[in-house]
Amino acid sequence: MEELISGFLQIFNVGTILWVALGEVLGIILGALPGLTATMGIALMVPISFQLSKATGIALLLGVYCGAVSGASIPAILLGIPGNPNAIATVYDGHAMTKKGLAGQALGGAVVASFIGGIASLIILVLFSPLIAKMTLAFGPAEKACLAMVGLTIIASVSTKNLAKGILTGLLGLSLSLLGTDPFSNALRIPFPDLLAKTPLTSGINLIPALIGLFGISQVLLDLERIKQGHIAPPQVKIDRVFPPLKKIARMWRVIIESTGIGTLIGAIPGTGASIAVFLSYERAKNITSSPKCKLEKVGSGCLEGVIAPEVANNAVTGGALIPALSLGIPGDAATAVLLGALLIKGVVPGYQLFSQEMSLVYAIFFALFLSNVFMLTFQLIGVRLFPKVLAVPMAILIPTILVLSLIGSYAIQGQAILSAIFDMGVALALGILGYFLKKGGYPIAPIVLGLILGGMFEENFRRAVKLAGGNYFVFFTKPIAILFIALAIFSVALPLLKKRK
Amino acid sequence: MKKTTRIIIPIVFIFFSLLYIILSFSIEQRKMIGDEMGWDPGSRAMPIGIGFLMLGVSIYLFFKEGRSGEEEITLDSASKKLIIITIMLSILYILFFRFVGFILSTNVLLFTLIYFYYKRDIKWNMMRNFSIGLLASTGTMILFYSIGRFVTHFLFLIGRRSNFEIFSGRLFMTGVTFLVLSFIFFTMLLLFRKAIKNENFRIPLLSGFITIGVTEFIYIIFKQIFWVSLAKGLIFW
Repeated sequence: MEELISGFLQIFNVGTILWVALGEVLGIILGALPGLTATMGIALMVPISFQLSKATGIALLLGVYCGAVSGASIPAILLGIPGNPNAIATVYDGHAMTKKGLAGQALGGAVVASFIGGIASLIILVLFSPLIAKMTLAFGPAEKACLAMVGLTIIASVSTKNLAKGILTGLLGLSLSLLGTDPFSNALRIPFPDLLAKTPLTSGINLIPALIGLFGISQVLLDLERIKQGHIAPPQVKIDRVFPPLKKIARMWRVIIESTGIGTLIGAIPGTGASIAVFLSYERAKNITSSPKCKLEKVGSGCLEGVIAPEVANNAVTGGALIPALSLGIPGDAATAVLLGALLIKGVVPGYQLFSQEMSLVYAIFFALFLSNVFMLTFQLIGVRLFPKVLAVPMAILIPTILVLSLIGSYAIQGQAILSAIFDMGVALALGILGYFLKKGGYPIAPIVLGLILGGMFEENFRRAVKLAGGNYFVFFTKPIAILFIALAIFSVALPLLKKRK
Repeated sequence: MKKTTRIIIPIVFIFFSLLYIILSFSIEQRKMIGDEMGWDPGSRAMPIGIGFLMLGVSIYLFFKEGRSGEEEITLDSASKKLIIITIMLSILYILFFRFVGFILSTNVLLFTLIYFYYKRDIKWNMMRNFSIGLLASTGTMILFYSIGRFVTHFLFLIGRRSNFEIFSGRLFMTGVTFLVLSFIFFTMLLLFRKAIKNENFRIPLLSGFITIGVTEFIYIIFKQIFWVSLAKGLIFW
């Protein structure tokens, strides 16, 4: 009970509430601007969260996360352009409603759906994450090493059409994570150690500059390619009645429940992400509404049902993706990978340890997610006529501002040690340029981040397991849970290959 | 993306993997502290293993991408120029950040990028107006920074020398500085509103105003609120 109250107080104080509100507004704006993703928004705010207390910092990032996920529906509905891939399914019925003169209801419906999805998945997160975390008590080094491998292979296999490209970038992330000093023997693992032994490279690659570079700077360079568009013309749509009829929403209970289930489940599977969840829920809603007995409007005809289903699923992913992130240390999608990175930088170790030793922080995270969803609902409904105006901000202003924020954000982490801070700016820029070319070549970026996050966990537990087994490398095939994880890893790699053959 | 560009990425990865493997072999092979029996795979086992895996996948992708016949997407020359100038300026920004300082280097980077992004191209005949705009923006930026520093110092001194300690509180000083600078900024914006509408002055003036606003805002957030040590460089006061 004490921990519950402590968690509550860590979030419900003036300072934290203001930071969450700020994060929420920034998130909605970032989400509404096509091309700027939730992941990028979180990565940009990590340096600021780093300066705040653990709970406040995480709450700020959760605010950005929820805001950006829901904000993407604004251009999807008004312009037919999704703010990010998560809102693609919202375009179909949402934009059709705008053409019918029902833009207000579509926007309001999307916000209410996002709130329902977010809160429902939060309840599932609260119920299941402690249980899953408890299960990790049965994990020894062998199981943990295999778990890290599962996280890497799943995200590598589902984040791109080309499995080899996903695996290669995952390996790149792993290779970068090993730079620095060996944690067990203190041996230097840097190129040309005689020359670089006294440089910041000995501490390895800092996670925050890497995240900012890979998600912020690479996106800046990609967005430059479409700078000729100037800016998107703000929609000239009359937004009248915003709040959708509650009776109508209540009649959609089946669509809402199924979309919540799909969103939370897909979110909880590492690497899958919201873009899969929204399409699955949209298709499911299509099936439900096409039944002759169903009294709801048919999804696909430009109706509220077609907005509610993907938006519920979209936001249900936020809670779902946090389940493996908090309980296992394996992020559900790229955005939670950045959130997880921010947690690790704060010295928070996900898993049973977090739930047993820092339960107040866990409660604080739950309260923060709740508050973020409440703010998302409030701000989106209040600002429903205001937020679409951000679409008028010229790219010529946005891109340089994000670039400078990315560079200074990377610098700020070690801002008191100027040389290390400048080195971090260099890391962010180098990885940003690398990320740009990789994205252009169709290589996914998320596995690099996963490699960077899970590399340490994998190596540490792999070596510990082999050592404890007396140098036996086959120890991983002697433990049932480890075998299960290895099977899962093989399955995640084999499945896309089998699908291709079909 | 061009076929040649598609092949370049696996080639770069092949070279990176080879270098990684060579360097991994040069890592001192030390065992885990306390591992008397020598059962720990050692400090270079993992890098070597990952290096070889990366090499294998890169070689596979090299052959696969070579056979692939995806359509070619090329960038226009203006976009290429903008991307190159962004990367070059960012590199220079990082290299000179310590010596030139946050205010001046950020001012140059932001003004240059905003100006050319608005123009959507880089041509020699733009350089005259660009240089004048950059000089004016830098001068105004220094003035803004100096006013901000003066306000902060003034409040700090009042707080120290009087009984009103609140004046030297971090948030109070930051808040007042922010308000004073915002007032000056928006007054200037009002004074120049007619000139901004003029086609000839529009882009340099907008670039200048945005540069000053963003630079000062970042300075206040990171330096005055979070006490990040942003390099002073040439502006030593």
